Amino acid sequence: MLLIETLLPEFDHEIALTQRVFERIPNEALPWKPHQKSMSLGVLATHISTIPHWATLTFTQSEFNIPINEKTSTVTSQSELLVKLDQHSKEARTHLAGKSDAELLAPWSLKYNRQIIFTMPKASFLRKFVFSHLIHHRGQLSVYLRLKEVPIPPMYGASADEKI
Amino acid sequence: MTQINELLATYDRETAITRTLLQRLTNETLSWKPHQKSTSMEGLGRHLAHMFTWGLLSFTQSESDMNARTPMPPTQTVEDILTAFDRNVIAVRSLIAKSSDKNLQEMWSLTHDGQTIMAMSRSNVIYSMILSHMIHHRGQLSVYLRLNEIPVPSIYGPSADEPMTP
Repeated sequence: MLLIETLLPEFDHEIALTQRVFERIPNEALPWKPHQKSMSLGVLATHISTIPHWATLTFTQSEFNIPINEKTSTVTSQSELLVKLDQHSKEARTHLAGKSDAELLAPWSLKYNRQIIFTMPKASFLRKFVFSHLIHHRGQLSVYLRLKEVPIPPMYGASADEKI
Repeated sequence: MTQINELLATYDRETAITRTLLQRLTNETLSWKPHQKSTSMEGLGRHLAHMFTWGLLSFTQSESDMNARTPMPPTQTVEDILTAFDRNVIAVRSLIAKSSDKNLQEMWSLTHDGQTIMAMSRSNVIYSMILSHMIHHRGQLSVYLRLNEIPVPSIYGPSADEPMTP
């Protein structure tokens, strides 16, 4: 079995789940944050919506330098979030589809402030910084939504609000 | 790189991060929950330790009943959670390490009252039912830590408290 045959269905599954969570976000909750050190709900959701773009970068650049003080404009509505997620994930999917094991096992470097943080096979990078990273922040978002009294959809099992 | 090596590398990296978060829990905060509908800190920690038992079933059976797992009783201390987490993480790791790429691709079914409700490869059980599931709840736990003024470690990047660790 090719690596992409396990990666692509997982990608599709996680994006669909993320879309379902985004659909619950009330616009008025976007500026809210649970703690002064926390990201606001809008910043967190914007961050999640751009994570699939990293899959595109993995195949269009051999390395990526994270800018210090990166400024991403925060979305101002749920519909804008859904559009961003859809655009980034569809674009990523076109790059992922049909990739051979050799292409997926080619090394990729992430840099911060021009220093190499790590070099790893593209498949490992996708799993860590795209899939796992997105799931991590979506988990955080689910607590934010709970605190805003928004019903949580089932993710890996039933939520306190809904069965699978 | 074989699929088994890739799986073990991911498994080791992700379980180590989860352990770092669990170590930061305090006995005083175990009963805390952010909302009345939420799972308590203890419940979340216990769930993170217990979900590895899906690996014990799927690597020793070809199909398992949904209720075949032994429930994990509530824990009293952070030490109890860490002990259970370590025991299960090590047991599943040794099953993966003894496996083969071929065995990882074999299907395992989850049944309920004799009906199949889900079928997936063993590698998918580890990636999805265990690791993605764990990462989801670990993300929730990171918010719990923040709300209890416990410093949040670097997970996929820097946190508001600590710089990025690779």
